[in-house]
Amino acid sequence: MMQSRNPLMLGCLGLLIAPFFSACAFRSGNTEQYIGPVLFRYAMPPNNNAYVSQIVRLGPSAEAGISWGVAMGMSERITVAPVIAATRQKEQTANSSHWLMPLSFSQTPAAGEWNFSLLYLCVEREPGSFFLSRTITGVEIVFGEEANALTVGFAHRTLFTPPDNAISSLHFENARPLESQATVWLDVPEHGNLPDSLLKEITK
Amino acid sequence: MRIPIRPKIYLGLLISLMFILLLEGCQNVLGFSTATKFGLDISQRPDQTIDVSMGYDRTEVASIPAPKDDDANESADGTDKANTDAYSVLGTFVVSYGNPFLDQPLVLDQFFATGMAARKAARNPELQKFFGEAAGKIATKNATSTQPEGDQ
Repeated sequence: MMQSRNPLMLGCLGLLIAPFFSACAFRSGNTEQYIGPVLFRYAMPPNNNAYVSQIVRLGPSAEAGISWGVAMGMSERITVAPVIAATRQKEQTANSSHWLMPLSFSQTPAAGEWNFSLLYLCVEREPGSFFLSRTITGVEIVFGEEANALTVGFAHRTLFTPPDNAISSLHFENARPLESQATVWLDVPEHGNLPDSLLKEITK
Repeated sequence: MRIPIRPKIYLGLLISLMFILLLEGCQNVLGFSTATKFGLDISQRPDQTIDVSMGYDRTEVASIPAPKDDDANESADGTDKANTDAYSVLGTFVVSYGNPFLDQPLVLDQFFATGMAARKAARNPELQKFFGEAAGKIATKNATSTQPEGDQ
């Protein structure tokens, strides 16, 4: 009798314990989904001059979507998405960013402070990020758009991909990622006055 | 009924998948990347060969896509090449970093105009002044750093 119950009990126990020891991420387009425990914080306008997210995972973790890989140790991923500035031709674009923890008591995490998601976290962002910082302390193998690497030890990589036909500005400090500043100007006049925000940027 | 497992087939599939994923990472886009590595690292950046490092390594890479080199006046899609952008980039890129395990963070300051925006920026007097001053600062800094000690 015990032999027939053990696998079921172990399976249930495993399902209960699994989220504490592993986190899986699925990223596609502007949506990110995390299953399992993740520590995260984020910032967005109007309090900040960029859309910033910082996600930390501990222990074994896996990712799929735009990059595929597995990691063991502490992995941190920071993304910065720009604010689209107003120009003479266009108004400032109203961007959006949604952080949801539908399986938690507080479904909407607070901005600007550390949050913990135990089971499921969903992030929807627009526009896509143009700066990425990935840090691994441990072992990681990853393939895809973000990195192609096998690491044993420590690795910190950043990738900045400015958009085409635009002026982009980025200030990033690893110790204070939430204070990052990122702006994109899409329509730059060839002659005449520059937008105020761009003038401010180049004269500071 | 048990299906016999063939390890060679699985290994082949795994290698093929890894190769496809590696190719997926080789995109021809404008990008600026930095990396700090400590330990064993085998990595491959877009349009670069595979890099193997053991111990400490630090890299900064700028990858700018080059246009296809042909002498025809018209591009493949029939548009006049004179009015299409080869790929213009104007920018300043400032990186400062120290020991990542101490309180010496990585600081990045980047300002870039790309594509047609770079062409327009090159003709704009205010942006000309900004990029000119930035280039002047870099030239002065380089001249000072290469000057022998005692000459200053």
